[in-house]
Amino acid sequence: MPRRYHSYRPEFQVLSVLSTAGASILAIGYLLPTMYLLWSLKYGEIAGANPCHAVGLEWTVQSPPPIENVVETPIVDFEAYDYDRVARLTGVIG
Amino acid sequence: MSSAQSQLHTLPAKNYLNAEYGLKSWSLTLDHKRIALFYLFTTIFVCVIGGTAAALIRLEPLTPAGDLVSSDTYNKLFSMHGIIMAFFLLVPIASGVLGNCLIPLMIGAKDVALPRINLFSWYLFAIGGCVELYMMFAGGLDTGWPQSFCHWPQSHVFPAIHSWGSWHAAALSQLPTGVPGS
Repeated sequence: MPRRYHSYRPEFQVLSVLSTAGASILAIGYLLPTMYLLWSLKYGEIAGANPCHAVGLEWTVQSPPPIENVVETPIVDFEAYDYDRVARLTGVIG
Repeated sequence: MSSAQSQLHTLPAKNYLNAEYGLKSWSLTLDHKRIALFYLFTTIFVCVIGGTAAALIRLEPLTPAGDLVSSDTYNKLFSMHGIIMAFFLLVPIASGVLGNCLIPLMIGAKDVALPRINLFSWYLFAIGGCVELYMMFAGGLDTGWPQSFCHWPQSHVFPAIHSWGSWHAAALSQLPTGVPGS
């Protein structure tokens, strides 16, 4: 049976119902994260600015960020993945 | 990353969400994070419409007879789903939501290079979306998907032009957003 057919012969109904059942599982897959994201937004613990001790500049601002993200433009004199530097600064080994 | 998890965090007292109040401060905002929120809520809104179309497309073949929607509506649902999901969800969610919000933060900038153009691009996008939705609910376009791009039957020139114009407005509105971000 070709795709995008509006009506079809009855012998294909079982497969079509199977396909719709699969689509329902996909719909649940969309609804679940929607629900737990909304739940976390309302009841979740505040994560803080950098919960994973990441090294990127986007993690150095407060969360949520202020209107103009940074007070002064940061000068980057370290490597992009210098996790040791973060460990030295925070005392936490990620 | 275990010991730091237990400490309690609080929200900063002043941030981009509560720094200014009122309709004017939001509708004329130049802050890239607020504009990213505009894009986020717009795309969620159209995603619900496009998702409903997809659900109807899949529910119709539950029975062999075409009884849930007419064949004409079925074709229109395909156009609606395809155009909305491609041009009003996939395109803006990358540059409009994620790029807008994250790139200035990632490069340590105070905002995008051209904040007014950034706001203008959202308005252009929203106008394109309104024209598209009007076209769909005022008659619809039954070219299906992906023929929405290339095949215009003679009798459907006007809805097709509406649709073509509005999704181009939507897609091109990402251009001024993308330029200052890059």
